[in-house]
Amino acid sequence: MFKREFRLLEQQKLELGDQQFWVNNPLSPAHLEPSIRRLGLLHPLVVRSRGTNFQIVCGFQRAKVAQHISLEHLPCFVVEASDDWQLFLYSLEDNLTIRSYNPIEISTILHKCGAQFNRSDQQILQEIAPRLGFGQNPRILELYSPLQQLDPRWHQGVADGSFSVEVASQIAGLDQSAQQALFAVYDQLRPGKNLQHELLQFLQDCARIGKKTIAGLLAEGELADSLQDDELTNAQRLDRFRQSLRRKRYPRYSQKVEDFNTILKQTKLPPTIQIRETPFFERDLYTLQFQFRNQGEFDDALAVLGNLRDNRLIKRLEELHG
Amino acid sequence: MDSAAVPCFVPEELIVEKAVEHTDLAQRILTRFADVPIARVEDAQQIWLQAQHARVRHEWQGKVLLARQRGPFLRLCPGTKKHICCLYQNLDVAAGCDLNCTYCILQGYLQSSLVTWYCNLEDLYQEVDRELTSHPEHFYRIGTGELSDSLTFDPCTHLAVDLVRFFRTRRNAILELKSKNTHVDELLEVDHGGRTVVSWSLNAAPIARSEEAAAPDIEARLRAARKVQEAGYWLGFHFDPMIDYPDWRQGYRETVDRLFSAIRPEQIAWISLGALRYPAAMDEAIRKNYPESTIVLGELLPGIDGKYRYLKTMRLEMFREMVRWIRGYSAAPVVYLCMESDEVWHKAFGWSPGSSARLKVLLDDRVRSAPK
Ligand code: SF4
Repeated sequence: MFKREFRLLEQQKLELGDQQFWVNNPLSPAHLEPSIRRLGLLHPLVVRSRGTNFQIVCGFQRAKVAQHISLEHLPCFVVEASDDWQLFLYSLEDNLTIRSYNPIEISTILHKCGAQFNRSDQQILQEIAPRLGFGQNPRILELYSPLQQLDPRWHQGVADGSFSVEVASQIAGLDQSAQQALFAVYDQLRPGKNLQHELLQFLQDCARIGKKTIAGLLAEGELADSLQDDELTNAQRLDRFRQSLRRKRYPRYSQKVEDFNTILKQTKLPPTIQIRETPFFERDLYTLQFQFRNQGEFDDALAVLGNLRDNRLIKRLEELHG
Repeated sequence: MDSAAVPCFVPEELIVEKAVEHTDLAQRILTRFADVPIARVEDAQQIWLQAQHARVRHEWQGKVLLARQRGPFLRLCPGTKKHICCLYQNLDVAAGCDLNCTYCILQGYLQSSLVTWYCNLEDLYQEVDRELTSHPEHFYRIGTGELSDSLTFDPCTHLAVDLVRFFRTRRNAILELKSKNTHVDELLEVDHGGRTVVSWSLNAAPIARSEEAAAPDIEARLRAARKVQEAGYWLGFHFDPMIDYPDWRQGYRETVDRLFSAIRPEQIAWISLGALRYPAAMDEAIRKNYPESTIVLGELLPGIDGKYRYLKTMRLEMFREMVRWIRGYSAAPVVYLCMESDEVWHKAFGWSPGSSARLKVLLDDRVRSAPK
């Protein structure tokens, strides 16, 4: 533990621009303002003296609010410490007593450990990962470190959990134009997390198959049309986008599904009679199901089924299996 | 890669489990690689555990663990449910491979490139001997190419000839050495008694170049096969995995043509066909380990056993063409499908063995006696 002294410090003496120990994201402390206005600062900042000024170790957001509402004096613990790394750990712990870190902050922490404090991956896994609740799992580095390369537009959604960390981490590895084009799609369609993964995978695959960029792919044909169709609700737009993408990714399978549906459509079966294929047409098997409430409906269904023999339905379904 | 350019594997570090240090195989390896750094460990388990946590697969590249096989050496191939399998027995003499094919199934369960050579061979021979003698009525097809390539490490271990000699007099078993490599010279000198099939995985040449880049090319494999043919062995060929790409017809056709211009069909025991397939989890592994490979971009869909496969009509097209080309040359070898359903057999071949047991009989019967 560091030697520390409690003091009331003038707000101007705090070096807000020095971000050596800063990891917060977003740096938007608006949510703290009402309580600080009402009650003042209940939780003192932690600072280190630097000449006549003070470097902030913990409490950047509170200091920002204090500046914003022109609070003149702030309660602070002034610590005497020359070991920056130990101070950084102290600031991490201090924040953890009141909240957990969001993914963007975790990424910043990992980045600072390496770039600013020269910690190796092994040291990060031993000293930092457990503090952040990851044990010593190296996956934390794979998943969170790349977020540093993420276009800032993505930050808010990743921080508040609307975008999956796994997906954001992959997107961070793409070039700027892809990141921006993808943000426009994800921000507009707001897919759930499982779907975020599927869409990204399909888009990357389709771009590779067609030898195009992701931005180029999104700007053309059915995909672009589905995003621009104002007649649709957002859910319908997402569905249409997804279907178009599936058709691009699995053209032969999609063609088979289309052929199957066309055959059924031409057969004009009543809604009480259904024919289903096995998943992905893997087996030469169809399931027939019909509903009836009474003898009359039962006889009607049999009559319809009897007619199916004449219109080559079964033969055409057989042919679908090659 | 051409065979002339394929260097023999040389370990960069040997890690020896103390329990096997004095076995013949370990001594043979330690003498041969006296200048390679050696680490000794009490329990190989700790190394496997570390290797399983490798962040990148290639982290353990070049490291070889000499260890004791804990479980049985002999295992019935697990096959896949609701499909016809050939009821093969795997003999696990090694785990890991240096050829790094992009589609290799080993990525699914070995997180790193660490190679393990099991050295307690006395246990192996005892176990196999016990199994074969206690079920004399049963015929065993036994192969070492499941968790590794059967020949790729042979210049280091010289295990293949030991195994060939061991199986030479067995009447109810045949050994299959399945490989993409060309290290066959030692095999040519051994009396094999017709109890060994030496087999090669073949592919369309462009696929071999892109997805099996560290392995000898198709021509080199066939040259090695020809030498082995001259030495009177049974031969086998495995077109597995067949991979869909725009010119697949031409690519596979050419390999079939090359095969039959190099090899006498009467000496080919079997030719297997299998289309690319893998468990869902392997998709991620391939993307991570081989980001340049395009095999994951194929139209692979989940099948009834949960594995990803090409659409059935695509597989049928590939299998039908292959059978047509192969049968155009010879009716002699057994041509069979690996892990396909009765339905696919019927549609591709016009007949089906109907069950795994029946397929086993077909394959067993082909090699009960030495090749003519
Ligand atoms: S040769 Fe076989 S075992 Fe070796 S990497 Fe290729 S597929 Fe895997």
